Amino acid sequence: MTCPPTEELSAYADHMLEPGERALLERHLQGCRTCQRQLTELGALQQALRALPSPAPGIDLASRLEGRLRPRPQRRQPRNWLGDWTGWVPTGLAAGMALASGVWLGGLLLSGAATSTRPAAMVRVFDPVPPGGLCAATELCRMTKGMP
Amino acid sequence: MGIFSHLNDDECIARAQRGEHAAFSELVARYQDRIYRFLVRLTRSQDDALELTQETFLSAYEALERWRPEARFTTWLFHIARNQAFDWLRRGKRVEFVALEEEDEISLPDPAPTPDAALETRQRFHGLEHALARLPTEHREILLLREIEEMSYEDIATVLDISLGTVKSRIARARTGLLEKMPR
Repeated sequence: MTCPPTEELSAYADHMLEPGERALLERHLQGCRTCQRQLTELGALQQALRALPSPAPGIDLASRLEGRLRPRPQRRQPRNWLGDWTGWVPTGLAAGMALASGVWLGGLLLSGAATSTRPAAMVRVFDPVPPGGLCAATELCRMTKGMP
Repeated sequence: MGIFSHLNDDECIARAQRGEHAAFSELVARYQDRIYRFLVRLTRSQDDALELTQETFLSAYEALERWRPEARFTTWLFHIARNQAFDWLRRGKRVEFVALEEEDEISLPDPAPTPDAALETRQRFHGLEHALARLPTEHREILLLREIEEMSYEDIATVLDISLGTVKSRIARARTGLLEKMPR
C-alpha cells in the first residue's frame, strides 16, 4: 500500500482537497494506521497553534500615528463624460436663462424707446422763443427748426 | 468605539482616501493587534514588532491611493507587514533566532484554572512558541498566516505572492518541520 505524500494529508486537514482526491484519501485512511496517526498529529498541531495566546501591543497605535499622517491631497474625481455633462446642466441652464432675460429686457428697452419718442410739443417747451412769440435772435430760431 | 466603527473596511478606506484621518484610525484600531502578533512572531522582538507595525500602517496610508476595492484590505495589509519584516531582516537588524523574551512570557494570560494546570499550559505554550521560533522564516510566516490568522490558501498566496501549489506544499513542509521541533 502506497501512502499519500504529507502534502495531501496536510491539504486534507485544511479541507483543501478536491472531492475526488478527498474520497480517495479517505478510502486509504480507513486501512492505514500510519496515515491516521499523522493526520491526528496534524490536527493536534492546528489546535495547539490556534490556542496560543496572542501577544498584543497594549497601546493605542491609532493615536500614536495621528501626528504622523500627512494631510492627503484632495483626490480628483475620475473623469466621467456623463458626469461632466450632468455637471454642466445647472450652469448651462443658468447661463441660458440669463441670456434670455437679457434679450427680453433689451427688447423691452428697445421697443420702449421706439414708442416713447418724445412728442414735439414737449421739446418745444425748451424753445428759447415761447410758442407764438417773436424771434429775437434769428440764429437761435433757425437752430430750433431742425429740432423735433 | 470609534465614530466609524459601523462602517466596513471599504467604506473606511474610501473616507481615508478623501483625507479623513479618523477613518484610517478606525482601520488601525481594527487590525493593529493582528499585524502586531504576526510581526512579533516573525521578528521575535516586541520593540521591533511595534515599530514595524507602525511602519506598516504608515506605508499603507501612503499607498492608500493605489488601493483598489478588488483587493481585500486584510491581505493587502499583511502583504505590506510581511515585506516590512523581510526588509528589516535583510537589513541585518536581526537574522538569528532570539528566544522569547521574559516579558513575552509574563504577558501571556493563564487560561488554566489550577496552578498545576496553569504551569502545564504555560510550558506547552512556551514549548510551541519556542519550536515555532526555530522554524525557517518562510515556514514560520506561512504557518502564522494559516493557523493563527486562519487565512485561506488563496489569501496566503496573495500575501506571500506565491502560487497555490507552493502554498500547499510549503504549509505541509512547515507543519512537518514544526512537529519535528516540538517537545515530546
